[in-house]
Amino acid sequence: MSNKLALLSLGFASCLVAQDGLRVNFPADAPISVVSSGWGESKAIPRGGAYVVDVKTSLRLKNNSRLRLRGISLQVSSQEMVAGGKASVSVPSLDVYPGQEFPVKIDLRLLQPNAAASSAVVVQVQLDGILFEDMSFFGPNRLGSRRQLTAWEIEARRDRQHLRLILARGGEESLKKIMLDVLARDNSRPKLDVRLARSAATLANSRGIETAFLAQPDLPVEGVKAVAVASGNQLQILELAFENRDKREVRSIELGLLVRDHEGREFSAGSLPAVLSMKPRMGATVMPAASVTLNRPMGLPMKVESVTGFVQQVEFSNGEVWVPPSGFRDEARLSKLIAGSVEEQRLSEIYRRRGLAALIEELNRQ
Amino acid sequence: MKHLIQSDIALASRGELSLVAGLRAKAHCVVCAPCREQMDLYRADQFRVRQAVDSFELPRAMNWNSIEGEIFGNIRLGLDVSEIGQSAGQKRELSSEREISWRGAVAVAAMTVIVMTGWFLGGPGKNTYMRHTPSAVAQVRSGAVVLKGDESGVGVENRGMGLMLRHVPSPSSRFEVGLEGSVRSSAVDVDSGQVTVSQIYVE
Repeated sequence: MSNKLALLSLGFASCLVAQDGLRVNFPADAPISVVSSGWGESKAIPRGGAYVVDVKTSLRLKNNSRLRLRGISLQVSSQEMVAGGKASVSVPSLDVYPGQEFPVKIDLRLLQPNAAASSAVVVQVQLDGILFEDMSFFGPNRLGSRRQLTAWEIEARRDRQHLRLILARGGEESLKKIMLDVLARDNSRPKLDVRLARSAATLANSRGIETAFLAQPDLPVEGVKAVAVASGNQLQILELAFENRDKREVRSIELGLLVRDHEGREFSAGSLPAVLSMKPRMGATVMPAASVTLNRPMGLPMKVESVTGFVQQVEFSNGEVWVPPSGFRDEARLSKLIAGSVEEQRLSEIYRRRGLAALIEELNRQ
Repeated sequence: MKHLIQSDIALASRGELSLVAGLRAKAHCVVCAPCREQMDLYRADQFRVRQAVDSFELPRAMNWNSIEGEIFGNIRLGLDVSEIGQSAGQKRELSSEREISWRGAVAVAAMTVIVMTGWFLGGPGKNTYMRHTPSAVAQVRSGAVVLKGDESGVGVENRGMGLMLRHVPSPSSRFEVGLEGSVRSSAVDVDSGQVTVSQIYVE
């Protein structure tokens, strides 16, 4: 904040936080190292009795392994990360060669109760996991980074392969058309305001609603039972039962959820990751202890009529991860409801900002 | 064969003709190559405009101090111009309307200063520090812990303390609630081209 405003605000001056309160702790045997780290532009702004501290940190890391690095996940914490919460910053879809350096930006805003605390901000960054080109993983995996980084990498390979195939078969015009479709869908996808309350209590005045699972080809885990109730714009999933159709033991799954309102409109209502151990050909049940309040933009309540689930990730006990094939979203007419992979997001942004030639170069690069 | 008039082609390209006229225009374009090309051109233009609008972003390193200085400078300039008018002996020549206008300008300037000061100094209220976009679109509540996500990032707040992982708002940014108690957002960094996924979890 400028001096003018500081004077105008009669002494409510902002105070700069400590020059370097960034603590980066990586395991000694980590195959990456920190080349440089530190606060970027950081400042504390008084807001009533509290202080808002903006911290723009920048890390420069180096890949010391012999493999190309595909993704990284960092756990971020501070004294403001009060008991009950955890935070992570992940960068998937990387292609960092051995010996190469790469940046990771962490842009934080902290809310603190007093000025004294704002001058002693300490942000801790710890490694949670790194994924390499051969899908090997390093890290403590406290936040489940292994599953997530592996799934993102498989989706990235699937989507790049799909786009390369389109380019080879239909030429640049076909690729262009696909990317325009992706951008158009990103802009037109119906949005829903989702508020989740973690509570085991059953909704008052609730009624049972229709539930279903989407039929998916080559599905390793199949949903066999779902019980859900709704009360107005509130939804509660009471029970989900799955069966493992694969020969491998399942460690966790992630279910995508679609909801339909009384006018037949469908929306994505988020996802449900669940840790459940299932031996081959065996089943397991999940009972989420949460209720969801759904509103359309501008706060219009959405009357929930039905909920549909589809399996979007399966993690096996050997670390392998299954994701749906590339055509699944289109075949199931899900493209207009749910967003594509983070790789699709990255590639469509390359096309939007730098054009078709840059996209083709990127597809040929990896 | 008579060609479509330009205004009809333009309206048809946006789907803004009436149902019957729209169908007639589409049918005509099936058999008339020049009109079809013209309609394609209109559509291409519309797409370019949409792309230009979508890709427009505020500069990342916007210098708010400079903007603030300009605002105060303009207010000061208005006052100075008024003072110059008075000191040059023009006050008597001004009509009563101009005097009202001058007072109005001072009132507006004073109000602007009050509003801006209030805006900068206003108390945080409940969860205000995360409320720099119109509304949260993803929220998880677990006891006193509240997770929130919107186009700007994801954050957690508990009893007056909080942390938010931010990213530059972008048309391509996404966010999602995990029903196990998490909020996730992803955005592509303009500078590095990397896609960054920020996630907050309830323990």
